[in-house]
This record gives sequence, structure tokens and C-alpha cells, in this order.
Amino acid sequence: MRATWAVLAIMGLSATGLPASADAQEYVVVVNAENPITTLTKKDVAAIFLKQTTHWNDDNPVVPVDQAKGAKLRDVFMRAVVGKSAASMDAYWQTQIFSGKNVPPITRSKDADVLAVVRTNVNAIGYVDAKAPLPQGVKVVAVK
Amino acid sequence: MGMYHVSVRTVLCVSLMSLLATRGYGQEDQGESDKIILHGYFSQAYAKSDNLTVLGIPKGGTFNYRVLALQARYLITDEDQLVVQGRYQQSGISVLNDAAPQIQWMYYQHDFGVVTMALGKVPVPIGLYNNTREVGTLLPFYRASANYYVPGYETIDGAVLSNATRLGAWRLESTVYGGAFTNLFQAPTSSGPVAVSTRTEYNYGTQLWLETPLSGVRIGTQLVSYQAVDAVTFDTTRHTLVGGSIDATFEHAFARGEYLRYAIPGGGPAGQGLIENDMYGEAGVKLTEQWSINTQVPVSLVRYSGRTSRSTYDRALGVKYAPNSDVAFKLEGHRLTGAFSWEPPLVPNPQGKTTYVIASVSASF
Repeated sequence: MRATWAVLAIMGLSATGLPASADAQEYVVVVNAENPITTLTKKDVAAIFLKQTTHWNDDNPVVPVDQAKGAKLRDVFMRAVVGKSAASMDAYWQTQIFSGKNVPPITRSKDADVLAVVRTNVNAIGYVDAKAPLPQGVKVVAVK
Repeated sequence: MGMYHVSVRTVLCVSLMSLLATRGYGQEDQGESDKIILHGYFSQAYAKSDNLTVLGIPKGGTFNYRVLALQARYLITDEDQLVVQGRYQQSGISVLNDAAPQIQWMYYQHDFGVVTMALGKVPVPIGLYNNTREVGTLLPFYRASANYYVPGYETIDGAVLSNATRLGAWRLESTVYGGAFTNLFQAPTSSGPVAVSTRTEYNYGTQLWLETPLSGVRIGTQLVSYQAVDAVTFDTTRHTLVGGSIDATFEHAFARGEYLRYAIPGGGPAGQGLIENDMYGEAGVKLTEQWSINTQVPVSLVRYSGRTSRSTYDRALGVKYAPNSDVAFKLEGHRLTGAFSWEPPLVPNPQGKTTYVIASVSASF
């Protein structure tokens, strides 16, 4: 029995997340320029996109903006930050939805659309391709 | 549940109105003005038994095996929501089949930041699957273990309070609730089984989940103080339900187990009190991104008049093909010894054996 658990654990661990260094260049986390936050931990960002953290420190509601289902960047981001594949995140949200707990973050299918929401909503947080041009009113948050 | 009957036309109208101005999971949000979010799930199956009628599955087979649910959520503000879910369920020739679509949930939810409060007819968390017991795209089999997730107890007419706290690398999710339960079961009569629904007003309980530092591994416990109506005397007495769960879910494999112990007054064959012990284990492995094989073993032990006997022993093996997270095809075979406690007892042979198979397709959004 102990061996079975060990095998399952190894299978799970081997399939979770890419090493942080491998994807560090692929995405950036962005917030509205008026947001005083400059640094977040991966755990903080994960909790926001799992909607486990619902408010900023100043008590304003957090508005996470996700990339659309099927986006390659979504899978990279979720593996790196949350430690789950996009498919596992889909199962997580189905469980949340149908147990009545919560619904997924709003989604946008283009980086420009994610940035547009973040630029116009002071409480929003999103992630985009690291090469995407950032408009005024949006800043990158360091994720440690 | 009967008091929440609505017409099919009403459900269709609400659904259509929702579809006109909603987003579902994975669909692009059309703008901040979108306030209504629609979700739903559907399963359709063919099921056949080789001997006794089990879970509504007759020997001759049936296509009348399906469930549909539509959920509409109105976001009043960032912290306030109204949620309504309608459901229609058919399980072969079961007397517990819905006569018409039901309003399964209807509640108001407010997020206080530290605590989330839901008031109304609210889904109540008991174990891993209480509210996702029929969501085919999430489940390894057509339904969650049928000895553990009995009909009723899916919602509470009352209040549910939830909180989550980080404890270093651990995370504790706690829920407390109180209100009225509706219990459904089948009672044997000379003319065949009939559906019996009992309702008790004053129940309260808690569900705790402790997420461990090992991602995907969590343990849970359930404690419910509930009222039960004696099947013989119709007296209402208070009892305690205790349970425990363990869940290890990884990217390519999972193993889960749950246990429950509770009292059924008047539930014994001679009308004596009965203690029910329900447990199951299940595990699965993803062979590829789409294909997985799963197994499940539910076991129930009953204790009355000083002796314990096994009432349910099911062994299931299934194959699941999920081309994406919103669609799943399943084929499963079960070998059941005995019967499920909420179905009519097997007379004269309580250890009768039945093989049943279910082929199903499920979709959700």
C-alpha cells in the first residue's frame, strides 16, 4: 500500500508544472498602474487565479483576468504558477461551479484584450506574453 | 423537493433568456456588463442489468438514463450573487425519477472577504462529491459511489458559511451549515417500491478539508447532527453522522476513499434501529491525455440487533475517453452483491448478485 502511494505521488509530481526558470521568459503578470502592488509571490498569484484570495490588501476586490480556454500561454502559466495543467484547472473550475462555490475568472482571448481590462480596472490582474507591448496604465508585477 | 416543481416551459424560458446574455466557462467574456453566467451539465446513458433491478436499471436495459442541469448565476456586485440551478434526472425505472424539472438550488451568496455566506436552498458540502455526484465530465463513473451519496442531503434549506485559511504550507477549508434536509428513499410495498420523502427542519453540520503541502493531497472530515424520522413510529430523533475522506489527485492518477457512519431509526428488517457504515475506494490512471481506466469498490456494513453484516459490495471497472474537459464517454461494468440501502431490500436473498453495465456520454459547459 505504501509503495502504491509512493508511485502515485511520483506520477503526480512528475506531471506538475514546468520548472519556474523554464517559463520565466514566456509571460509577465500585469496590474493596473495605480495598483500599489509591485511584487507578489507565486503562491499569491496562484491564490488569486484560483479565487482563493478575493481581496487586495486595501480590501478592494481582486479581478483576475484569465487567458481563454485552449490558449497555450494559459497552460504554461498555470503549470508554472499554480502547479496544474490547463486541463486540471478546467476540472478544478467545474468542481467549483457545480458545487456552487465559485465561477472562473473572466477570460480574454488576446493579450491586447487582457491588457485593456487591466488598464481600465484598477483592481484587475492578468498575465500576457512577455513580448506583448504594454500600454500606458499597465505595469508588470515581479513574481518571486 | 416536490414543492419546487416548475414547468418545463419555465425552465426553457429561463435557459433561453440566460443564453441570450451570458458567458459560460471557457467562453470569452463579452464585457464587464455581463452579469449572468450560465453553466450546465448533461449525461445520457444506456444501462442494463443481468438480474435484479439496481439503481433503476432493469434486466431488459434502458435508455431512460440521463441527467440535465442548468445553472444561472447573476452577479449583483463583486461580492453578491444570486444562483439558481434546475435539474431533471431519470434513472431507468426508479421510482425516484423526477416527474418534472426541479429547482435544485436557489440562493443568495455574499462574500465578506473572510467568510462567504449563502442563504436559501444551498448545496451542502458532504464529502468529495455531494454536489458533483452527477457531473459526468468530472466523475470516473456515471455517478459518484451510490452507497455513499444517497438521494437527498444534496442541499439544505438554510445557511452555509465557508472560510479558507492558510496555515503555512497547509490550507484549511471549513464550512458550517444549518437548516432543513430532505431525504429520499424507496420503501417496499406489496405493489412494489414507492418513493418516500421525509423532511426535517433542524440539522447542522460541518465539513473540513485540510490541503497538505503535497499538491493534490487533502483529507477531510464530516460531522452532521441531524434529525431522522423513524420509519415505523414516525418519531423524530436526533443522531450524529461522522465521516472521513482522503483524496490524492495528480495529473495522471488519483486515489480516493471515503467513510460515513450514521443511524437509521427503524431501518432494520424488523423495524429496529440500524447503524449504517458506508465506504468506498476508487482509483484511476490516465493512459493518455484522453483515455483513462478507473476502478471503484463501494462497501456498506449494517449493524442491528447486535450483529454486523455486509449489505452492499460493488466492484466496478470502467474506461473513460475524454477528448477534452467538457466531453466524456464512459463504459463501465459493475458486479454488485446485495443492494443499496435506499433501494428495496433483496428478499429472500439479501446477498443476491447482479452485474450491470452503463455506457454513457457526458458534456458540461
